[in-house]
Amino acid sequence: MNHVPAIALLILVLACGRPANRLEYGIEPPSDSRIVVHDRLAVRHGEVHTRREGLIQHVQVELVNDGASDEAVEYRWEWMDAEGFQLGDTISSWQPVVVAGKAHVLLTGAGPGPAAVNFRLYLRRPAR
Amino acid sequence: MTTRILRRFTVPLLVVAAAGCASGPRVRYGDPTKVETLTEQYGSTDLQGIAERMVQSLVRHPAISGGNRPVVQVSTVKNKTTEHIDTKTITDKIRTALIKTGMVRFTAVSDANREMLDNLEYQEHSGVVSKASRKRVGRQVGADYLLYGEIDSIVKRAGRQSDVYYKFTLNLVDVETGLIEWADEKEIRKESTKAVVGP
Repeated sequence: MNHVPAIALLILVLACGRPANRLEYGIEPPSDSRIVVHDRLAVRHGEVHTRREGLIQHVQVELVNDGASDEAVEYRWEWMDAEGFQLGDTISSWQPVVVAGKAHVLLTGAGPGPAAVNFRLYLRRPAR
Repeated sequence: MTTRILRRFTVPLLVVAAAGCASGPRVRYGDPTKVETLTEQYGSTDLQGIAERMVQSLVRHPAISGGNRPVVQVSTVKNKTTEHIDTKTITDKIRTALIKTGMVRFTAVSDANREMLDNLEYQEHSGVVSKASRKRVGRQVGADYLLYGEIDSIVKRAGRQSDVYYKFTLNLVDVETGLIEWADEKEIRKESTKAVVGP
C-alpha cells in the first residue's frame, strides 16, 4: 500500500521522460579524411565518387547500415576552393536521413559554384 | 514534526518560486542550419532541403550548365497543402543559390517590375537625371525560362501517430516554345508520436 504513490510517480516520470510530440525523421572512424564524424555512428561510409559536370563539382557518398535496425543520421556539406577557403555556407544546412537496416543510401552534394573544388561531409547523430 | 518542517520551508520555497517566475523569457540565438523537429509541420529544415535538392538538380541540366547564362523568371509556386507555407521563401532561396553559381541570371520582373518602371519614368521625365546616365525604356531583357511549381501534402493521423508527406515539384519551362525543359521533385515524410501524458 505504501509503495503505490512511488510506483505511480515512477510511471509518470517514465511516461513524461520522452518529450511531447517527439518527431523522428525516419561509426567506426571514416577512412576518408573528407568525411568528418561528430559522434559514434552505427553507419559507415562506403564509396565516395566525385565528378565535375560542367562548372560544378558533384559528390556522391554512400552510407551503409550493417545493422538490423534503421539509423537516423544528420549530414551537411562544406565546400572549399582550391586554396582551402570555405564557400557558400548558406547552402550547407544539416539534413536528416534515415538509413534502413541492412541497406545503404547515397548522399549527393553539389558545389555552390565553379570555385568549389574540395568538400567535407559532416555526419552526426540527431539531437534528442 | 512534519508540520513544523513544512512551515519552516514554505516561505523560502515561495520566495524562490516567485523569483523564478518573475524573471523574463530567456532568449538565445540558435543555429539556423540545425535540423528542426519541433512539430511535424513544414519547417526550416524542409525549406533548406527542398532548395538544396532543386539547385543540385538544376545545375546539372544543360539549359543551365551550358554556359549561356540563361535568363530565368520565377513564377508561382502554388501551396496545395492545408498549412500556411510562404512558397516565395523557397524560390528566393533557390534563386539566391543559383545566382551565386554565376551560371544563371534572373529577371526581377516578378518582384520589382512596378518599381523599375517607376524608376525609368523618373529618370526619363523628372529632368533631374543626367542624359548620359539615364536608362532607356525598351531595353529590358526577356526571360528565356520560367520556374513554376507546387507543394502538396498528405496528412494521416491514427491515435497518437501522425504521418505527414510533402511533395515539392518544380519545373523549368522554355518561354518561347512552352516546353518543360527540366522538372524535379523533393519528397519529405515526417512521423510524429504524441506522448502518453501531456499535449
